[in-house]
Amino acid sequence: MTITKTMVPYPIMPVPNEQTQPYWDGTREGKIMIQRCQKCGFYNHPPLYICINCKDRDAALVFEQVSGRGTIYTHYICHDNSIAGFENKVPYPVVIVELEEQKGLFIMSNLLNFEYDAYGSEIKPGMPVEPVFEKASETITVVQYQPATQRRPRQAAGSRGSRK
Amino acid sequence: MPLTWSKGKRPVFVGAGQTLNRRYSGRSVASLANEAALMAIADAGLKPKDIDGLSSWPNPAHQVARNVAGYDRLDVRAMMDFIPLENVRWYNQNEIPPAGSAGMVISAALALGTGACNYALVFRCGHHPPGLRYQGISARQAPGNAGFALTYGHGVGGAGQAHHFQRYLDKFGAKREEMYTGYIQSANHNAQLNDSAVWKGRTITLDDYMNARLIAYPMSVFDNDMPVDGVKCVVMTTEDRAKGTPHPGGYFAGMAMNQWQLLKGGIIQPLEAIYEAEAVMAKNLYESGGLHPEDVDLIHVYDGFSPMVWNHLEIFGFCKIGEAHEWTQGGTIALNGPHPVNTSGGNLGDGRVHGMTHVYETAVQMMGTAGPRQLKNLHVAICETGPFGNGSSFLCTKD
Ligand SMILES: [Zn+2]
Repeated sequence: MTITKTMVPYPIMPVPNEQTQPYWDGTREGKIMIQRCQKCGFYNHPPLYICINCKDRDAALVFEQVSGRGTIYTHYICHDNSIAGFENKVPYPVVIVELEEQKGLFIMSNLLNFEYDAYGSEIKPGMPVEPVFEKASETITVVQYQPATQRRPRQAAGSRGSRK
Repeated sequence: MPLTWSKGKRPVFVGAGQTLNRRYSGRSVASLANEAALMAIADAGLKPKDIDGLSSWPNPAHQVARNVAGYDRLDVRAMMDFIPLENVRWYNQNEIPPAGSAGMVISAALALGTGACNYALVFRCGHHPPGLRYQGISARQAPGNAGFALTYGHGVGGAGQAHHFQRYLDKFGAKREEMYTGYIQSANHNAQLNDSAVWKGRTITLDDYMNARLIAYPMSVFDNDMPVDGVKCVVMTTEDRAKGTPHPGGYFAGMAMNQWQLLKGGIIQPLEAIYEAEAVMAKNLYESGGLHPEDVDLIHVYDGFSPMVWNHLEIFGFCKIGEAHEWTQGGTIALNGPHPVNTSGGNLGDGRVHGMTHVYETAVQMMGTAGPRQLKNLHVAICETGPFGNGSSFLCTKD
């Protein structure tokens, strides 16, 4: 069993471009900022040049903060060492977190502070997770996720999490 | 609407040629292409001067490719140079992988049907670079959108498919060992009857599969096809011209390409979105051929990554969504079973020439030249060639 407490140092450092810079400005302040269409409200991540949902050519695409709360959609456990710099990190999980704001709005993560085996047997879809912000360099903070420690403030009836 | 052809102008396979796939052949792509193309042309009873159409997908599609024609790339100009072919009137050079190998056949069929060419050579190479790791990432930076994925160490071979496979296992209650009995085993068996196959002479047991080196669990080395050196070619013409050739077979009967618009961008394409998009392709395919899943008796579906086999058996309607992991058990898809799948061993068994493996085997089965693997009483074949969970496909018929 393994627990990944941190992925620092990051062997491959994100380099923002003009499209992704607002996202990275946000993470440095502990926020997840996602590009959102001001016409239809759809979140586009990675950011786009026209909203994938409504295709309104005049719609403004503005970065807005999301809650960060989400659940595991799927995952794998990386064992292969063909990515330079990750050799001493294997095996590590690569999970896909679905944010609560929108179906199919995904963020990748390595799932920190969770005990897993070589097969990720205990990583289950629907598992609630919360963001952790890891300072990777002076300018880059990487979003990671860990199992949720906080009860969700807005709990819709019939949603997961019985009040034990 | 079913495809319509003028009388005598239905496209059909008339020849096939291939080099034997080898992990490292020690030969150039140029040399392999010369061998496979001349073999295919001769198999069709033709001469190089007869070939007047070319259809290619030249992208080497791996991370350390140099993209040099004759080395790891085989494009139309290279093919004209290497044979040589001096009477080419029409050619097609696919760019995107989803057009891929079935896309080459589709383009050639359309060109033949309109008379843009009379004899089309369709080809693709695989190349395994010596001295380099085929799948290797040495980048220190992740520019732009790569920063949302590569930063997390996402990108080893089949990583995207590992996400899909895990989703499938979780969603449908499938077990990883079912992949052995529900595909790997039959592909391994079929490969024993194929001299080209990298799995020939190698028996893979359930124990081997379950204990294999993991790449990105649930995917192991046996779930990812092996890079090889090899070239595969088929020759197509029209029904009227085919009458004078030794063994025409596989009359082009339907076609479809993936509906990209349904894929809503994002960090990954969720399995559900791929199913939704490919359901449109499946519907278009059957409608264009006026055929149904129950008409099909030979199935070729892309298997560069094992889970895609189950995905496409469901998408093309051979079983219900989420049930392929059960439907494939007990010999359903074996060579001698009721629904043979990937009779040459597919990309896993034969080696990574992407979907051209499936095109080649579809052609030889329908022409009756598949040797020890030859199936009897074939009527309708489906061929889907991906890769990466979205592809193109065609149908062909015996008569
Ligand atoms: Zn919109």
